[in-house]
Amino acid sequence: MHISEGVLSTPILAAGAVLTAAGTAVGLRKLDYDHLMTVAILSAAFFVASLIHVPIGPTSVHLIFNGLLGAVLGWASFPAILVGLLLQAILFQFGGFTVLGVNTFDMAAPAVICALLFRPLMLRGGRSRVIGAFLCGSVSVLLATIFTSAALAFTDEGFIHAAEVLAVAHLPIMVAEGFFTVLIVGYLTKVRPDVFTSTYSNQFRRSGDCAMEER
Amino acid sequence: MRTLRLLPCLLLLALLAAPSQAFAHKVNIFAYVDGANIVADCFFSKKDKVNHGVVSVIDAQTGAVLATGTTDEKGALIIPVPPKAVAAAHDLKLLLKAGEGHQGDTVVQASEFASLTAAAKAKPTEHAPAKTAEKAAPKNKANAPAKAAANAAASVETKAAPAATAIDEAALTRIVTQAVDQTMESKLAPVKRMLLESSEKSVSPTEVAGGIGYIVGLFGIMAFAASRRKDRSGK
Repeated sequence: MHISEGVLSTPILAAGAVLTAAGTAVGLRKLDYDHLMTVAILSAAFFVASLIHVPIGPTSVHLIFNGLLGAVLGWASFPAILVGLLLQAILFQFGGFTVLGVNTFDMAAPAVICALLFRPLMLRGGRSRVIGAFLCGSVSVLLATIFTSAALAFTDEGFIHAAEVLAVAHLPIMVAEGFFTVLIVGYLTKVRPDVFTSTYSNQFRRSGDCAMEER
Repeated sequence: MRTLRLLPCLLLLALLAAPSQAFAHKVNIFAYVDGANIVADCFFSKKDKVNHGVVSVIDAQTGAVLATGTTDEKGALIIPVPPKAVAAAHDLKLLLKAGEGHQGDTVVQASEFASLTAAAKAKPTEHAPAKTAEKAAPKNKANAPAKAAANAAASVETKAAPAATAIDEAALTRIVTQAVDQTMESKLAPVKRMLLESSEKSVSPTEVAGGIGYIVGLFGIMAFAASRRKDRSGK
Protein backbone atom coordinates (compact mmCIF):
# COMPACT_ATOMS: atom_id res chain seq x y z
CA MET A 1 0.00 0.00 0.00
CA HIS A 2 2.85 2.35 -0.72
CA ILE A 3 1.44 5.21 -2.70
CA SER A 4 3.85 6.12 -5.48
CA GLU A 5 5.48 9.44 -6.09
CA GLY A 6 3.50 11.85 -8.23
CA VAL A 7 0.06 10.36 -7.64
CA LEU A 8 -1.21 12.71 -4.97
CA SER A 9 -1.78 16.44 -5.11
CA THR A 10 0.31 18.85 -3.07
CA PRO A 11 -2.34 19.71 -0.42
CA ILE A 12 -2.75 16.01 0.43
CA LEU A 13 1.00 15.49 0.54
CA ALA A 14 1.35 18.50 2.82
CA ALA A 15 -1.50 17.36 5.08
CA GLY A 16 0.09 13.92 5.36
CA ALA A 17 3.48 15.42 6.20
CA VAL A 18 2.00 17.68 8.89
CA LEU A 19 -0.03 14.88 10.48
CA THR A 20 2.95 12.55 10.46
CA ALA A 21 5.18 15.21 11.98
CA ALA A 22 2.62 15.75 14.73
CA GLY A 23 2.23 12.02 15.34
CA THR A 24 5.97 11.51 15.43
CA ALA A 25 6.37 14.37 17.90
CA VAL A 26 3.76 12.84 20.20
CA GLY A 27 5.34 9.41 19.75
CA LEU A 28 8.79 10.64 20.66
CA ARG A 29 7.47 12.54 23.65
CA LYS A 30 5.61 9.52 24.97
CA LEU A 31 8.49 7.19 24.21
CA ASP A 32 9.97 5.53 27.23
CA TYR A 33 13.68 5.61 26.48
CA ASP A 34 14.27 2.36 28.35
CA HIS A 35 12.30 0.64 25.65
CA LEU A 36 14.02 2.26 22.74
CA MET A 37 15.34 -1.08 21.58
CA THR A 38 11.82 -2.50 21.44
CA VAL A 39 10.94 0.34 19.13
CA ALA A 40 14.04 -0.36 17.04
CA ILE A 41 13.27 -4.06 16.76
CA LEU A 42 9.67 -3.44 15.75
CA SER A 43 10.73 -0.75 13.32
CA ALA A 44 13.05 -3.31 11.73
CA ALA A 45 10.21 -5.85 11.71
CA PHE A 46 7.99 -3.34 9.93
CA PHE A 47 10.80 -2.59 7.48
CA VAL A 48 11.18 -6.27 6.59
CA ALA A 49 7.48 -7.18 6.75
CA SER A 50 6.72 -5.50 3.46
CA LEU A 51 9.03 -7.96 1.74
CA ILE A 52 6.99 -10.92 2.90
CA HIS A 53 4.21 -11.57 0.48
CA VAL A 54 1.15 -13.60 1.14
CA PRO A 55 0.30 -15.33 -2.11
CA ILE A 56 -3.39 -15.69 -1.33
CA GLY A 57 -6.21 -13.91 -3.05
CA PRO A 58 -6.43 -12.07 -6.33
CA THR A 59 -3.47 -9.81 -5.82
CA SER A 60 -0.25 -10.44 -4.03
CA VAL A 61 -0.08 -8.29 -0.93
CA HIS A 62 2.55 -8.01 1.74
CA LEU A 63 2.49 -8.04 5.51
CA ILE A 64 2.31 -4.67 7.23
CA PHE A 65 2.57 -5.33 10.98
CA ASN A 66 1.20 -1.92 11.85
CA GLY A 67 -1.25 -3.52 14.28
CA LEU A 68 1.56 -5.31 16.03
CA LEU A 69 3.47 -2.06 16.32
CA GLY A 70 0.40 -0.35 17.69
CA ALA A 71 -0.20 -3.11 20.23
CA VAL A 72 3.32 -2.96 21.60
CA LEU A 73 4.40 0.62 20.97
CA GLY A 74 1.25 2.72 20.96
CA TRP A 75 2.12 6.27 19.91
CA ALA A 76 5.73 5.27 19.31
CA SER A 77 4.45 3.46 16.19
CA PHE A 78 4.72 6.80 14.41
CA PRO A 79 8.51 7.19 14.67
CA ALA A 80 9.00 3.45 14.18
CA ILE A 81 6.94 3.35 10.98
CA LEU A 82 8.43 6.61 9.74
CA VAL A 83 11.94 5.18 10.01
CA GLY A 84 10.88 1.91 8.39
CA LEU A 85 9.22 3.66 5.46
CA LEU A 86 12.07 6.12 5.05
CA LEU A 87 14.54 3.28 4.65
CA GLN A 88 12.20 1.44 2.31
CA ALA A 89 12.03 4.56 0.18
CA ILE A 90 15.81 4.96 0.18
CA LEU A 91 16.81 1.35 -0.32
CA PHE A 92 13.95 -0.22 -2.24
CA GLN A 93 12.38 2.85 -3.88
CA PHE A 94 9.01 1.90 -2.42
CA GLY A 95 6.82 4.93 -2.14
CA GLY A 96 8.98 8.03 -2.17
CA PHE A 97 10.13 11.02 -0.18
CA THR A 98 7.29 13.34 -1.02
CA VAL A 99 4.68 10.71 -0.14
CA LEU A 100 6.50 9.63 3.00
CA GLY A 101 4.22 11.71 5.20
CA VAL A 102 1.01 10.34 3.72
CA ASN A 103 2.27 6.76 3.69
CA THR A 104 3.43 6.98 7.31
CA PHE A 105 0.17 8.46 8.47
CA ASP A 106 -1.85 5.83 6.57
CA MET A 107 -0.03 3.06 8.42
CA ALA A 108 0.71 4.62 11.82
CA ALA A 109 -2.61 6.32 12.54
CA PRO A 110 -4.53 3.00 12.38
CA ALA A 111 -1.90 1.49 14.67
CA VAL A 112 -2.44 4.20 17.28
CA ILE A 113 -6.23 4.13 16.93
CA CYS A 114 -6.30 0.35 17.38
CA ALA A 115 -3.94 0.57 20.33
CA LEU A 116 -6.27 3.04 22.01
CA LEU A 117 -9.32 0.93 21.21
CA PHE A 118 -8.07 -2.54 22.04
CA ARG A 119 -5.45 -2.06 24.70
CA PRO A 120 -7.90 -2.19 27.58
CA LEU A 121 -9.01 -5.58 26.23
CA MET A 122 -5.45 -6.79 25.84
CA LEU A 123 -4.49 -5.75 29.34
CA ARG A 124 -7.29 -7.81 30.84
CA GLY A 125 -5.47 -11.02 30.05
CA GLY A 126 -6.78 -14.46 29.19
CA ARG A 127 -9.27 -14.71 26.38
CA SER A 128 -9.82 -10.96 26.15
CA ARG A 129 -6.12 -10.51 25.50
CA VAL A 130 -6.29 -12.91 22.58
CA ILE A 131 -9.37 -11.21 21.17
CA GLY A 132 -7.93 -7.75 21.74
CA ALA A 133 -4.65 -8.62 20.07
CA PHE A 134 -6.38 -10.23 17.11
CA LEU A 135 -8.62 -7.21 16.61
CA CYS A 136 -5.66 -4.86 16.99
CA GLY A 137 -3.75 -6.72 14.28
CA SER A 138 -6.58 -7.08 11.81
CA VAL A 139 -8.48 -3.82 12.28
CA SER A 140 -5.22 -1.88 11.85
CA VAL A 141 -4.84 -3.33 8.38
CA LEU A 142 -8.49 -2.60 7.55
CA LEU A 143 -8.11 0.99 8.73
CA ALA A 144 -4.87 1.30 6.76
CA THR A 145 -6.71 0.35 3.56
CA ILE A 146 -9.39 2.93 4.38
CA PHE A 147 -6.84 5.65 5.12
CA THR A 148 -4.93 4.88 1.94
CA SER A 149 -8.15 4.99 -0.06
CA ALA A 150 -9.00 8.31 1.56
CA ALA A 151 -5.67 9.69 0.38
CA LEU A 152 -6.49 8.42 -3.10
CA ALA A 153 -10.01 9.86 -2.97
CA PHE A 154 -9.04 12.94 -4.94
CA THR A 155 -7.25 11.06 -7.71
CA ASP A 156 -8.87 9.36 -10.72
CA GLU A 157 -9.16 6.25 -8.61
CA GLY A 158 -11.86 7.52 -6.27
CA PHE A 159 -12.36 6.51 -2.66
CA ILE A 160 -14.95 3.75 -3.09
CA HIS A 161 -13.13 1.93 -5.84
CA ALA A 162 -9.75 2.07 -4.11
CA ALA A 163 -11.24 1.05 -0.77
CA GLU A 164 -13.00 -1.93 -2.31
CA VAL A 165 -9.96 -3.19 -4.15
CA LEU A 166 -7.56 -2.64 -1.25
CA ALA A 167 -9.82 -4.06 1.45
CA VAL A 168 -10.58 -7.21 -0.55
CA ALA A 169 -6.95 -7.72 -1.45
CA HIS A 170 -5.90 -7.33 2.16
CA LEU A 171 -8.44 -9.74 3.67
CA PRO A 172 -5.89 -12.56 4.00
CA ILE A 173 -3.42 -10.11 5.52
CA MET A 174 -5.97 -8.99 8.08
CA VAL A 175 -6.43 -12.57 9.25
CA ALA A 176 -2.70 -13.36 9.14
CA GLU A 177 -1.75 -10.24 11.09
CA GLY A 178 -4.50 -10.84 13.61
CA PHE A 179 -3.06 -14.26 14.41
CA PHE A 180 0.48 -12.98 14.36
CA THR A 181 -0.30 -10.15 16.75
CA VAL A 182 -1.98 -12.63 19.14
CA LEU A 183 1.14 -14.78 18.98
CA ILE A 184 3.60 -11.98 19.62
CA VAL A 185 1.53 -10.27 22.30
CA GLY A 186 1.04 -13.61 24.05
CA TYR A 187 4.74 -14.34 23.87
CA LEU A 188 5.75 -10.90 25.08
CA THR A 189 3.38 -10.91 28.04
CA LYS A 190 4.98 -14.18 29.12
CA VAL A 191 8.61 -13.35 28.49
CA ARG A 192 8.80 -9.59 28.93
CA PRO A 193 5.66 -8.44 30.72
CA ASP A 194 7.41 -5.19 31.59
CA VAL A 195 7.36 -4.20 27.91
CA PHE A 196 3.62 -3.98 28.16
CA THR A 197 3.06 -2.78 31.65
CA SER A 198 5.60 0.02 31.47
CA THR A 199 4.99 1.19 27.92
CA TYR A 200 1.28 0.77 28.40
CA SER A 201 1.13 2.73 31.57
CA ASN A 202 3.42 5.39 30.18
CA GLN A 203 1.36 5.64 27.05
CA PHE A 204 -1.80 6.42 28.85
CA ARG A 205 -0.54 8.54 31.60
CA ARG A 206 -1.02 12.19 30.92
CA SER A 207 1.51 13.29 28.32
CA GLY A 208 4.68 14.76 29.64
CA ASP A 209 5.08 12.29 32.49
CA CYS A 210 7.71 10.30 30.63
CA ALA A 211 9.54 13.38 29.59
CA MET A 212 9.59 14.48 33.21
CA GLU A 213 10.96 11.15 34.32
CA GLU A 214 13.95 11.22 32.10
CA ARG A 215 14.84 14.78 32.88
CA MET B 1 -2.31 -25.31 22.51
CA ARG B 2 1.39 -25.17 21.96
CA THR B 3 1.10 -26.69 18.52
CA LEU B 4 -1.62 -24.19 17.78
CA ARG B 5 0.74 -21.41 18.67
CA LEU B 6 3.44 -22.89 16.50
CA LEU B 7 1.20 -22.99 13.46
CA PRO B 8 1.33 -19.30 12.57
CA CYS B 9 5.07 -19.39 13.11
CA LEU B 10 5.45 -22.24 10.67
CA LEU B 11 3.13 -20.49 8.25
CA LEU B 12 5.25 -17.42 8.40
CA LEU B 13 8.41 -19.42 7.84
CA ALA B 14 6.76 -21.04 4.84
CA LEU B 15 5.92 -17.61 3.52
CA LEU B 16 9.46 -16.46 4.02
CA ALA B 17 10.78 -19.46 2.17
CA ALA B 18 8.24 -19.14 -0.65
CA PRO B 19 10.09 -18.46 -3.86
CA SER B 20 7.41 -16.23 -5.34
CA GLN B 21 8.35 -12.86 -4.02
CA ALA B 22 6.24 -10.31 -5.74
CA PHE B 23 6.71 -6.72 -4.77
CA ALA B 24 3.50 -4.89 -5.21
CA HIS B 25 4.82 -1.63 -3.91
CA LYS B 26 6.83 -0.42 -6.80
CA VAL B 27 5.63 -0.46 -10.35
CA ASN B 28 8.08 -0.36 -13.22
CA ILE B 29 7.77 0.52 -16.86
CA PHE B 30 10.41 -0.19 -19.45
CA ALA B 31 9.92 1.08 -22.97
CA TYR B 32 11.76 1.28 -26.25
CA VAL B 33 10.99 2.07 -29.86
CA ASP B 34 10.71 -0.87 -32.20
CA GLY B 35 10.14 0.17 -35.80
CA ALA B 36 7.15 2.51 -35.78
CA ASN B 37 5.91 1.30 -32.40
CA ILE B 38 6.65 1.95 -28.79
CA VAL B 39 7.01 -1.29 -26.92
CA ALA B 40 6.42 -1.05 -23.19
CA ASP B 41 6.81 -3.68 -20.54
CA CYS B 42 5.01 -2.98 -17.26
CA PHE B 43 5.70 -5.02 -14.17
CA PHE B 44 5.78 -5.09 -10.40
CA SER B 45 8.46 -7.74 -10.50
CA LYS B 46 9.74 -10.32 -12.93
CA LYS B 47 6.80 -12.59 -12.26
CA ASP B 48 4.19 -10.02 -11.46
CA LYS B 49 3.18 -8.15 -14.57
CA VAL B 50 0.74 -5.27 -14.65
CA ASN B 51 -2.56 -6.54 -16.03
CA HIS B 52 -4.61 -3.87 -17.72
CA GLY B 53 -2.51 -0.99 -16.49
CA VAL B 54 -3.19 2.28 -18.27
CA VAL B 55 -0.23 3.83 -20.05
CA SER B 56 -0.45 7.41 -21.26
CA VAL B 57 1.99 8.66 -23.84
CA ILE B 58 2.73 12.24 -22.94
CA ASP B 59 4.72 14.88 -24.77
CA ALA B 60 7.46 15.57 -22.25
CA GLN B 61 7.71 19.23 -23.30
CA THR B 62 4.10 20.29 -23.61
CA GLY B 63 2.54 17.76 -21.25
CA ALA B 64 -0.16 16.91 -23.75
CA VAL B 65 -1.46 13.34 -23.71
CA LEU B 66 -0.90 12.04 -27.21
CA ALA B 67 -2.11 8.48 -26.80
CA THR B 68 -3.22 5.99 -24.19
CA GLY B 69 -3.17 2.24 -24.11
CA THR B 70 -3.85 -0.65 -21.80
CA THR B 71 -1.42 -3.44 -21.10
CA ASP B 72 -2.32 -7.07 -21.74
CA GLU B 73 -2.08 -9.91 -19.21
CA LYS B 74 1.66 -10.12 -19.75
CA GLY B 75 2.11 -6.46 -18.92
CA ALA B 76 3.09 -5.72 -22.53
CA LEU B 77 1.85 -2.85 -24.60
CA ILE B 78 2.62 -2.03 -28.22
CA ILE B 79 1.46 1.38 -29.27
CA PRO B 80 2.35 3.25 -32.49
CA VAL B 81 4.55 6.28 -31.99
CA PRO B 82 1.99 9.11 -32.15
CA PRO B 83 2.33 11.06 -35.43
CA LYS B 84 2.32 14.32 -33.48
CA ALA B 85 5.34 13.18 -31.53
CA VAL B 86 7.07 12.13 -34.72
CA ALA B 87 6.43 15.53 -36.24
CA ALA B 88 7.43 17.51 -33.15
CA ALA B 89 10.42 15.30 -32.33
CA HIS B 90 9.82 15.83 -28.62
CA ASP B 91 10.75 13.32 -25.95
CA LEU B 92 7.86 11.16 -24.81
CA LYS B 93 7.01 10.40 -21.23
CA LEU B 94 5.22 7.14 -20.64
CA LEU B 95 3.14 7.26 -17.50
CA LEU B 96 1.86 3.97 -16.15
CA LYS B 97 -1.04 3.89 -13.72
CA ALA B 98 -1.41 0.46 -12.21
CA GLY B 99 -4.18 1.35 -9.75
CA GLU B 100 -4.35 1.85 -5.98
CA GLY B 101 -1.80 4.61 -6.04
CA HIS B 102 0.78 2.70 -8.05
CA GLN B 103 2.40 4.81 -10.69
CA GLY B 104 5.58 4.65 -12.68
CA ASP B 105 7.03 6.44 -15.64
CA THR B 106 9.80 6.29 -18.16
CA VAL B 107 11.02 8.47 -21.00
CA VAL B 108 11.35 7.53 -24.64
CA GLN B 109 13.77 10.01 -26.11
CA ALA B 110 13.10 11.68 -29.42
CA SER B 111 16.42 10.33 -30.69
CA GLU B 112 15.00 6.82 -30.39
CA PHE B 113 12.42 7.52 -33.06
CA ALA B 114 14.58 10.00 -34.98
CA SER B 115 14.56 7.68 -38.00
CA LEU B 116 10.77 7.98 -38.10
CA THR B 117 11.00 11.76 -37.93
CA ALA B 118 13.60 11.74 -40.68
CA ALA B 119 11.43 9.44 -42.77
CA ALA B 120 8.39 11.65 -42.26
CA LYS B 121 10.37 14.72 -43.27
CA ALA B 122 11.99 12.94 -46.18
CA LYS B 123 8.70 11.76 -47.65
CA PRO B 124 7.77 14.98 -49.48
CA THR B 125 11.32 15.55 -50.67
CA GLU B 126 11.75 11.91 -51.55
CA HIS B 127 8.93 12.14 -54.02
CA ALA B 128 10.52 15.11 -55.73
CA PRO B 129 13.62 13.37 -57.11
CA ALA B 130 11.52 10.39 -58.04
CA LYS B 131 9.22 12.61 -60.06
CA THR B 132 12.08 14.40 -61.74
CA ALA B 133 13.56 11.08 -62.57
CA GLU B 134 10.26 9.96 -64.06
CA LYS B 135 10.04 13.19 -66.00
CA ALA B 136 13.58 12.82 -67.13
CA ALA B 137 13.04 9.31 -68.32
CA PRO B 138 10.44 10.06 -71.03
CA LYS B 139 12.56 13.01 -72.19
CA ASN B 140 15.40 10.62 -72.72
CA LYS B 141 13.10 8.33 -74.60
CA ALA B 142 11.79 11.25 -76.68
CA ASN B 143 15.26 12.49 -77.41
CA ALA B 144 16.52 9.08 -78.39
CA PRO B 145 14.70 8.67 -81.71
CA ALA B 146 15.64 12.22 -82.73
CA LYS B 147 19.29 11.40 -82.45
CA ALA B 148 21.25 9.17 -84.78
CA ALA B 149 20.46 5.48 -84.55
CA ALA B 150 24.09 4.67 -84.16
CA ASN B 151 24.44 7.04 -81.22
CA ALA B 152 21.14 6.00 -79.72
CA ALA B 153 22.34 2.98 -77.87
CA ALA B 154 25.33 4.82 -76.43
CA SER B 155 23.39 7.99 -75.50
CA VAL B 156 20.64 6.06 -73.82
CA GLU B 157 23.20 4.16 -71.91
CA THR B 158 25.08 7.22 -70.78
CA LYS B 159 21.99 9.32 -70.07
CA ALA B 160 19.99 6.54 -68.51
CA ALA B 161 22.85 5.42 -66.37
CA PRO B 162 22.97 8.50 -64.05
CA ALA B 163 19.16 8.47 -63.81
CA ALA B 164 19.22 4.82 -62.87
CA THR B 165 21.85 5.37 -60.20
CA ALA B 166 19.88 8.35 -58.83
CA ILE B 167 16.83 6.16 -58.36
CA ASP B 168 19.01 3.43 -57.00
CA GLU B 169 20.58 5.72 -54.43
CA ALA B 170 17.25 6.68 -52.93
CA ALA B 171 15.98 3.15 -53.13
CA LEU B 172 19.27 1.81 -51.92
CA THR B 173 19.34 3.97 -48.81
CA ARG B 174 15.81 2.84 -48.08
CA ILE B 175 16.67 -0.79 -48.64
CA VAL B 176 19.88 -0.55 -46.66
CA THR B 177 18.31 1.25 -43.71
CA GLN B 178 15.51 -1.28 -43.70
CA ALA B 179 17.92 -4.19 -43.83
CA VAL B 180 20.15 -2.65 -41.18
CA ASP B 181 17.16 -1.92 -39.00
CA GLN B 182 16.02 -5.50 -39.29
CA THR B 183 19.39 -7.04 -38.51
CA MET B 184 19.98 -4.55 -35.73
CA GLU B 185 16.62 -5.38 -34.24
CA SER B 186 17.29 -9.09 -34.27
CA LYS B 187 20.82 -8.56 -32.97
CA LEU B 188 19.73 -6.11 -30.33
CA ALA B 189 16.83 -8.23 -29.14
CA PRO B 190 18.96 -10.07 -26.54
CA VAL B 191 20.50 -6.79 -25.44
CA LYS B 192 17.08 -5.28 -25.01
CA ARG B 193 16.00 -8.30 -23.03
CA MET B 194 19.10 -8.01 -20.87
CA LEU B 195 18.39 -4.33 -20.23
CA LEU B 196 14.84 -5.20 -19.36
CA GLU B 197 15.94 -7.86 -16.95
CA SER B 198 18.51 -5.62 -15.33
CA SER B 199 15.87 -2.94 -14.87
CA GLU B 200 13.75 -5.49 -13.06
CA LYS B 201 15.78 -5.01 -9.97
CA SER B 202 14.37 -6.84 -7.01
CA VAL B 203 15.29 -6.32 -3.40
CA SER B 204 18.60 -7.87 -2.52
CA PRO B 205 19.52 -9.30 0.90
CA THR B 206 22.29 -6.71 1.17
CA GLU B 207 19.78 -3.90 1.10
CA VAL B 208 17.60 -5.63 3.67
CA ALA B 209 20.54 -6.19 5.97
CA GLY B 210 21.66 -2.62 5.38
CA GLY B 211 18.24 -1.29 6.25
CA ILE B 212 18.08 -3.24 9.50
CA GLY B 213 21.56 -2.01 10.29
CA TYR B 214 20.47 1.58 9.73
CA ILE B 215 17.47 1.14 12.01
CA VAL B 216 19.52 -0.39 14.82
CA GLY B 217 22.16 2.30 14.39
CA LEU B 218 19.63 5.11 14.39
CA PHE B 219 17.91 3.91 17.53
CA GLY B 220 21.31 3.18 19.03
CA ILE B 221 22.23 6.82 18.59
CA MET B 222 18.93 7.85 20.16
CA ALA B 223 19.54 5.53 23.10
CA PHE B 224 23.04 6.91 23.48
CA ALA B 225 21.77 10.48 23.46
CA ALA B 226 19.08 9.58 25.98
CA SER B 227 21.56 7.87 28.28
CA ARG B 228 23.90 10.87 28.15
CA ARG B 229 21.05 13.17 29.01
CA LYS B 230 20.16 10.92 31.92
CA ASP B 231 23.78 10.89 33.12
CA ARG B 232 23.99 14.65 33.01
CA SER B 233 20.76 15.12 34.90
CA GLY B 234 21.98 12.52 37.43
CA LYS B 235 25.16 14.46 38.18
